[in-house]
Amino acid sequence: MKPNYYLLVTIIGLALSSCSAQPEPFKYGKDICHTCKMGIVDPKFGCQLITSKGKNFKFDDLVCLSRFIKSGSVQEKDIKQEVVINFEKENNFLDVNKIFFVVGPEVKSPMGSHAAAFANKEAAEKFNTGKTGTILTWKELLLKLD
Amino acid sequence: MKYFFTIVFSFLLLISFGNTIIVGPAQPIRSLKKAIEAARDKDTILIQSGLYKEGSIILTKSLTLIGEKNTVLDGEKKYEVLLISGNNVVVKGIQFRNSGYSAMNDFASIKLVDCNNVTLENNTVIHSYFAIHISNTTNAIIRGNKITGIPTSEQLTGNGIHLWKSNNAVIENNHIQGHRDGIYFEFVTQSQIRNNLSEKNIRYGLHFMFSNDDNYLDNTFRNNGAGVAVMYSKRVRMEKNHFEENWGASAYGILLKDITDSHIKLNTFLKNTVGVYMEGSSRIEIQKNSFKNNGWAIKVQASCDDNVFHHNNFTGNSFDVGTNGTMVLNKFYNNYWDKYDGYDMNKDGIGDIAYHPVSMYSMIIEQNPTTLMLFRSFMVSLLDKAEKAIPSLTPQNLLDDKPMMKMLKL
Repeated sequence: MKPNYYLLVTIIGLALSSCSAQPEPFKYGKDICHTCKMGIVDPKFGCQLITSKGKNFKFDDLVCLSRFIKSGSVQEKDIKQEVVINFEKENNFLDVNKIFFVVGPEVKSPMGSHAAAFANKEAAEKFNTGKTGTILTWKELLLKLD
Repeated sequence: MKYFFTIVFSFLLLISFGNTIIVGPAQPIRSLKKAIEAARDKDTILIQSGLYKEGSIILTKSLTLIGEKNTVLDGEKKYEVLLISGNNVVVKGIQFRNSGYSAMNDFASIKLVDCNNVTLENNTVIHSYFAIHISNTTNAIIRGNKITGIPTSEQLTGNGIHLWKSNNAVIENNHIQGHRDGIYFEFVTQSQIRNNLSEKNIRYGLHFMFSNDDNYLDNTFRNNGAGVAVMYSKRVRMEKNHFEENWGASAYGILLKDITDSHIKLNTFLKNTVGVYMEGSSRIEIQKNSFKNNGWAIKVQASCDDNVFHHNNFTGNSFDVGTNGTMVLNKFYNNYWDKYDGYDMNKDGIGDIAYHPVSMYSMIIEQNPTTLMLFRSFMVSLLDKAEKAIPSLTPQNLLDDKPMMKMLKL
């Protein structure tokens, strides 16, 4: 019997696509924050935690991600990736461990973390000129948040 | 003698209310900015019909601005239209439109910063990023304004009436639509929200955060993206509001998150996916409300305690109560449930056996939402009947031990 190649390709394609643990673009107005249950609407904030099994938790603010991590709902070894939206570019996801944050009263985030994410230190410093924020790494920021 | 008094009084009135400056296309003063410059405290500026494009107008004096039928202040999508910082200001009957948009600043058509005693009345605000933005203000009165947002560019719209760190505000008789949150309160205390209609907003009709001792009465919240959210607040009083048609996967009539010592009384919840969703809330008295045709009338998460539900009407809801745990620290009594099929032998109007408002199927859905597909199937109703006779999954002590036989008149 001649195998049905189209079907085979489709099945393989589906099987592969379902395990890609990538950040998903937010559906603004539809997605809700896993911690605070608020609708996610602000395209300058928002972050996601992806587990090694491929489950994607969405948050509207870094403080909600921090609370979720500290609640122990997901063990540290099961976290594959934590990403946050670039403050300067919509739908541009950055790995939290590789970037810098500006934390200060001028940043109005949805849940009061007052933290904005930037791709590198220069961008963060440029944004912070004339403002009173402090520049932190993710580890330092986690200590400050609840 | 009579005339004498009239004359004296009108003279006194003139003195106490200051002068009136008229601004208009055909008047000596054509610019509102110039008029504000020329005015002294307690003066009135009458702005005649016309289109005024003057960039950002800054007002720091105690003035009254009154518009005519077609007085339009246009921000040309670049500016904040009117910035007020001062005491005793009144803005009446003016149309504001096209405020600018900025990613960093909350641009608004009318912005109040560090004010005391400001009244915004009968204004129209259209196509603005934020419509009315208030911070560090006491005694603001926002009355009878009509606010319409930009319905197309979803996430680029701010809140309709936005209050931050203010107190003693009164928000009444406004109509707000097409913004992110219709009314937004953050760190606002001792304020009243009355008789407003907030509809078709992208996220919440009303959004409360960290705002204690506030009342909201007689409002209608209809067809908003996710209903109303009351979060992280204490001593909130919600009475006689209508929560209608908030449909969607994450839409609620009210979302209560970390609320304590509050009252929810005489409200109507009609056609919402979830009427009341409670998480981490304590000591809330929910009484005399009417829950009609909702998906879930109430969802109480196990993190809630000491809440009391009594004298409510539950009619036509797919599920009366949903929960995610077996621990129950909340009380239900004297409610009317249309699904109650007990009897009343002693005819005192109260059912003789208790009613369990959580069905087995609603417990299953809570753990595995996709099983909703089997809703109203034969198997499910069979299982529900079996569960009623021999309970296993549903929380045993979540019950109304004195259910009413007849619908309550509310």
